[in-house]
Amino acid sequence: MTVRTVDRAYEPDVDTRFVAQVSSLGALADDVVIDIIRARAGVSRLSESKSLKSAERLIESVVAQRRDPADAWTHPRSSEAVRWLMKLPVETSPGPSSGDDAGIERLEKLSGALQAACRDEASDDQLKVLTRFFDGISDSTMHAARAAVHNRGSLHAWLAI
Amino acid sequence: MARDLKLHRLHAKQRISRIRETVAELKRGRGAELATLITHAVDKFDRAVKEFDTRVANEKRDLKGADLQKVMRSYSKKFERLAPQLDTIYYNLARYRHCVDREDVAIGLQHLLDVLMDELVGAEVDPMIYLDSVPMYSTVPLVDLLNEFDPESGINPAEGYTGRQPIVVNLPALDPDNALLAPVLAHEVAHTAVQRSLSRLARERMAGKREEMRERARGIAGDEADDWAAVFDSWVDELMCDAVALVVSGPSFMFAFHGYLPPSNVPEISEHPAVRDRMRFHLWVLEKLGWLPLLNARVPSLMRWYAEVSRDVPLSGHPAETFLRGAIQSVEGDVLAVAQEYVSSPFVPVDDDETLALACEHLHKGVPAVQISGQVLSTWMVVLAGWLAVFQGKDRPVEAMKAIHDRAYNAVLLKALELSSVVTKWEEARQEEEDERTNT
Repeated sequence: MTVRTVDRAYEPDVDTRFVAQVSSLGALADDVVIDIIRARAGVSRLSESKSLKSAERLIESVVAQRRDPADAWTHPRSSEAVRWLMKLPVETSPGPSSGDDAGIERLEKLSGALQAACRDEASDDQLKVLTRFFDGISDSTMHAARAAVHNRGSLHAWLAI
Repeated sequence: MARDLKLHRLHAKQRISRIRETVAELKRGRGAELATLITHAVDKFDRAVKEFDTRVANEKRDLKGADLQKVMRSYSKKFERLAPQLDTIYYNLARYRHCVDREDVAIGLQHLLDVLMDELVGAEVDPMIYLDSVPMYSTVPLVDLLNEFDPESGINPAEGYTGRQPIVVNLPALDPDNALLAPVLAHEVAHTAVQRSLSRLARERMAGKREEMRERARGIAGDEADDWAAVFDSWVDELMCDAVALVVSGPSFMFAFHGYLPPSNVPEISEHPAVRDRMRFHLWVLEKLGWLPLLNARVPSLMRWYAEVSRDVPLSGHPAETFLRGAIQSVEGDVLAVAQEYVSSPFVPVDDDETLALACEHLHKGVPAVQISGQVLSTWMVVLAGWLAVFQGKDRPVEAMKAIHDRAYNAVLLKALELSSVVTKWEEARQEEEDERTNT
């Protein structure tokens, strides 16, 4: 028998909290994509982007948690955004590594690309990876927020990126 | 894409307008702070639309061709993203707008809620009663609900809100006016305090014990130990709410609890501890708070039943059950200590047994007396007298169930609660006047 819990607090049938948190993550993703487009067009610098710095912190904390999962006995519950990103599918392309290692590897690449971008040192390939990743986050969070309202519940849609 | 952007912008603006129109039509009175909170929230969305407009204008100045197209796609999504967020505001407004200034719930119960909110959440609260189709009690602090956005990246509708906070109190729609079950509301209102601070305080207090628990849980369950932690946290929260309710309302909570939730015969591991384990906890807390002499004298058979039922817990024998029951027992002292530190006006055991006996006598006869020998009975004294009157001469568990469903008796108690609150306010005003006269 597996012990499972449902939401402790009372929730009406539209999960306001869930919509709020995934929309927040989606808004951040939109801003990252916008800032990358602007930087590639040469009208601004990524080192000045607040959203990129927020995204860097977020991905760093996801990498840390994937490497060394915070145990629920001694750490407070992580944010909805982090838990969402923790659910990233680990197999995105065929390769030698599989399972958790592949997921961590991919997140570490992202984290490295974000760090480089924050120093205005990201390669063209790195910027493409970041754009694809955050575009995916943007679409998935939109879908999840809409579904949570229309389906009258929190639909924890799989991140299809 | 530019046309899509205009469509999504218009969609958001129209949603904002509809919400504002509905807010303007809301009544004034109890619960009217809903209008203030919702207006505060949609103002944020209006500002977001203006900010996006400015940014779009800047992009049109800075970018050209494919880059402009790509960036407009992202802005279109930013406008589109406002819709589900506004829909949750729309949903909460549509759901709770009829709770403002409602006249179909006894005023005595509304006064009791004021007392509870004042004690457990603070004076800056505006309780709203929602009649729920699920026959349960619960609360929804709307400011907390709308305050979940990450201010760094999204719109936080409740951020900066300084008005009185609307808190929804869900009552069973077909039986809202139940005075005997009012102590259950103390448990539910406590959830807001638990969510805001008590949960964290309890966690800090039991940090060392939690580390030991983790090691033991991992030894038994391996990776599943984290799931056990989630259940344990939920149990701590529930027991904390029970403890707060017992400190605030005294033994009435224990009586209301078994009438509302009869002890189950089925073993279960859910987000709540087993009902019979909770009944044992209630007995233990009441003993610590000094209520047992009065209870053993007035309801001896009932007390024997409580002791017996709470020893006879149906168990599945699952390792999680064994572990969690042991773990929760080891922190009960911490839970009670946090609850006692939090409640500033506890309902302490009654010394003057004669006043309580007279109050019971009156209520037993259907008289809502609230001033006995010059003393005004407090809200929780009225409820306790109401419960003890139920067991007068027939102290059996089944009487609680019968009394809960006795509408006429509950109406008498609600009238007593209303009068108690009126007389208390009257006495306070008289005292203030007298003090003023003395000073001048």
